[in-house]
Amino acid sequence: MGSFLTNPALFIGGLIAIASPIIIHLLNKRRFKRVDWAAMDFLLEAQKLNRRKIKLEEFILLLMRCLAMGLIGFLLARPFFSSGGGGGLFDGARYERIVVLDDSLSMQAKAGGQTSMETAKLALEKWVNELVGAGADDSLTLVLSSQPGRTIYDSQPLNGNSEAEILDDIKNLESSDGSGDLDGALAFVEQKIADGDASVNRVVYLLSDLRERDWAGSGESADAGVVERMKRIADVVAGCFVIDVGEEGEENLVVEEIAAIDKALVAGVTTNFEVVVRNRGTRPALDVKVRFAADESLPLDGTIDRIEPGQTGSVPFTFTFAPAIDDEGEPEPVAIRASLAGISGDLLDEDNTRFFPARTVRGIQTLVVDGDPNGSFGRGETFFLRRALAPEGSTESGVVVDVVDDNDFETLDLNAYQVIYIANLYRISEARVASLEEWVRGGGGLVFTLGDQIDEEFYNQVLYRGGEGLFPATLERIGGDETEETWGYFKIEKANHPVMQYFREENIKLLEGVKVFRWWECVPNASALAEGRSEVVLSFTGGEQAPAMIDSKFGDGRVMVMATPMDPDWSNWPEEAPSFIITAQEMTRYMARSNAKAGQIAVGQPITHELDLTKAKPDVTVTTPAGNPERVPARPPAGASASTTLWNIEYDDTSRRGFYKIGLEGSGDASQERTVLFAANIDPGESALRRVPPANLALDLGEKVTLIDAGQPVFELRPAEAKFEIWKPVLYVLAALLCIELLYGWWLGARR
Amino acid sequence: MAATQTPNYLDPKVLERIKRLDVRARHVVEGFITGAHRSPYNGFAIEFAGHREYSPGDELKHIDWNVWAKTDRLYIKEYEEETNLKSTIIVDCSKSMAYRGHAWRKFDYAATTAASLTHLLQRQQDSVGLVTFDTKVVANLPPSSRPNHLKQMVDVLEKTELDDKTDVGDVFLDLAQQIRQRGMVILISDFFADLDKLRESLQQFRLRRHEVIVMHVMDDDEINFPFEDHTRFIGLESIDEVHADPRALRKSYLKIVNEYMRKTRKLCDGLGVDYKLLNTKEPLDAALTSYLAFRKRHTRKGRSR
Repeated sequence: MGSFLTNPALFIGGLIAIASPIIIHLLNKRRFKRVDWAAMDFLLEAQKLNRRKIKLEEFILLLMRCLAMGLIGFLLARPFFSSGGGGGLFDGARYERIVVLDDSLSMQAKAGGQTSMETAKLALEKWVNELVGAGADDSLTLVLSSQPGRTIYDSQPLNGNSEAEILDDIKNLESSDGSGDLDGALAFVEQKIADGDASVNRVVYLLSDLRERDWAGSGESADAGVVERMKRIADVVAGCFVIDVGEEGEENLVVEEIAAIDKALVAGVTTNFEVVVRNRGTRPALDVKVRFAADESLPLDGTIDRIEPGQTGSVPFTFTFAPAIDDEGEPEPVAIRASLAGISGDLLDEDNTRFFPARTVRGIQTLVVDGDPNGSFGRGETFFLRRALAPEGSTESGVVVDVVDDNDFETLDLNAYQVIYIANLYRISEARVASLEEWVRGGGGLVFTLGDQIDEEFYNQVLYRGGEGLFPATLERIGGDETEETWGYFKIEKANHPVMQYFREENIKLLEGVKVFRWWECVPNASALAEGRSEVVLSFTGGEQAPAMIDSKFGDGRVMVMATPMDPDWSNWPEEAPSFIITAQEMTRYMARSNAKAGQIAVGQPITHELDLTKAKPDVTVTTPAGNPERVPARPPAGASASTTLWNIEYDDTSRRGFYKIGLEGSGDASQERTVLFAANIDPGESALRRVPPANLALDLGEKVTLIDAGQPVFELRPAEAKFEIWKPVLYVLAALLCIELLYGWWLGARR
Repeated sequence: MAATQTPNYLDPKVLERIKRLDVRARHVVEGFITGAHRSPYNGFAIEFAGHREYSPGDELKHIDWNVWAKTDRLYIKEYEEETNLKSTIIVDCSKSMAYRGHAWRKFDYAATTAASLTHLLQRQQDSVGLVTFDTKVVANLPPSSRPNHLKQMVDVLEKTELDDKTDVGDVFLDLAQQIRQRGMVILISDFFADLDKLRESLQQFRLRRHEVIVMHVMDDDEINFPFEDHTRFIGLESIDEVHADPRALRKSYLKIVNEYMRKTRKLCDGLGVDYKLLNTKEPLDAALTSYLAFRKRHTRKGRSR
């Protein structure tokens, strides 16, 4: 009964109410007058003549009244026909055809000659032609999974007037480079149906390639979002179909990452990269050729011998960025691409290239605070350190050094620097300690080199502060031999530490010549050690092994402690120039805030860039991967004061993978133009082409959702249940019946 | 006294309130004589009652001063030898006559009619007898013109019980044999009986050269069947019951009843019997008028012989 009645309970009420005219008739019969009658013979004869006729008339009236009660119940129950139940009478009903198209990146996978997206588009075009040709008077609503909160078409009538435009738009549809949000698109449709007119017949079609990633959990567990939403939608619409436009096949290689081994990308300096390739297929990938190209430079080629299914392989590249052209401003960024070359059997080409925005810097901005300055040549605390960091000559070290004393240090803007060396400084003001802590937490790299100027009490109580402060150890006393007759050597405790990586195999000898006469005996924070926040990289030999180099994490930054100064006071290290220079350089690079990841976004992620109005004009030009420039104005941050000069540039349309260049025009003293580079890359997860087993999915979707292959005549399917409410005809019949009953009763009365 | 100021002695509603039959009869006759009725024979009753209009030359001693007192008109009484007729009034006292519609029972109407006719006839010095019957003769007062005869008749009528069916067949046959002397027979009944038997009975009267008037008394309900609500009709003379919506039966009933009345009239016409339908809702002048008309015809015939 529930299959053709919206409110079956009311119909049952109506059936019960059918008894009411009968009851009233019987009650009326119980109320009568009594007359002692003389002319009984005449009455009996009259009754005999009319008995049958009277009974028939009463029966007809009673029947009409009972039928009217039944019809009232039927009407209130809101009956409907399904299209099948209508025996073809209602096949001409109007439908709103709601199409949800999965236009995620995986729809660009090509198997069998055309991509899944092309298959879907062809099906859509065919369907539009068929419906318009049949004069169906339907409407089209189209939602893309890449734009789940809006409709491309909203109840657009499908007729001769709109056909050409719709077909043209379908033809121009392209897969996005993004992941798509299938569940979000279905949620939007579900809400739209709930908010819409309940009497409209709707059919929902979901065109998808059934990638496991989109149908997360489908076929495996009960809490699958897309499956459950489809089932809910199927409960409230006339028909619900999932059309499989994909093909079996998962062979796919994807360039998953371009990683800068060096944290800082420095103009004029050689940087190591690693390109990581993942095999998403089921078969090993052999001789995978990778091409590394930076701007217009000659590309570099590498080969990965073998990548097992589901595993990654990588190939290193070394690239030397061009030096900065002028002495001011930042160097121009370099657009780096890593792509696969000459591979066969790969189903998805769009993930074979990855983009990397190499925002090179002039050098690692390094501040050296000299705690024991000396004007004599070669005698200052930082004399050798400065030269090790930025040797003179044509070769760029990639480090830009500023040396200050403790007085200047107190007032400097720390944010101008990536690395700070505090060399043998007696004390630091509490305000500066606080700003240092904040700076390190924000990602700065701080190196303490300890010498004879140190106030260990200050370092222990203020800088260490029970393990809560910057300093990763407590200072005990100065160890070693003051007479310099005995000494210790460096012993590498962490050979794979980035600072020590150069001192492997034969190169270990470079450190072996370093003699250390005195050092500060430090006790590292035990809990930090145990938790892995600190580690001893180098220690001193001789006697009790004491830490020589401690590396500690503090917030997003790091703090390193050298227990001996980087000058010739307590060691001969500067004389061992190679190891001294290498250690200083590697330490600086290690401690530098990485700029390698800056500018990398996912497709669809908005671009946000802070603009200093003292250096650039507020209107910028954004050039998309397609090469289309667009003027975008910078805006002040919400809630910022009117005098702020730091505004934001925001750009949302990053739907295509590739490079987005923000062109800045200089303002004020800075007149040159500059480019800020962003790279939008695909979500590597989209490269997983494994599909949900259709048979399992069909079981999960249940009876109300039909899963079919795109090869079937998709849009000739009729909805299983189109509801055609028939309360209006029932109402007319009821009204007619009541009129007839009224007229018949009147006629009987008049006739009598 | 102006006619409009006299009570309507013929109105059943008025008469019903008069319980004594003799008084009631007197009221009827006086009302009829004084013209306080709607009869088209206005004035004709005075002729029938042995009066004629005064003509110059008539003897003043024959003027009916009672009539003059009431009407301001001079009438001469006719002599009784002009009206020497023996009449027998036969009244049906079966149970069917007990039906009471709006005003009074059919029997009450019939009894009043009989008493009124008797009163009227006695004023004419005619002899009047009374027979009451149901399935048999219940009471039989031979015709007499004595003054207290009316009282006797009234007494019989007032004491009559209605408790048996109607059977005109054998009763009338017996009566026909008993009423030997030719005269007038007035039958007052509802005639809910077999028409063939009625025909036979009336024929017997006619064969004995009696002048017969049939006064067919029916209640207005029986004539028009005005019932609306669901009604259970219980037979007065039988155990039959009909539970019905009267509206559904009305048309057929009326057709049947009218057909019966038509047949009865036709039957009477065929036998030379005067027929008058009396509706108990209507004033009693109809009965008296029909008697007058009949009397007039009979008197003329008598004179012409």
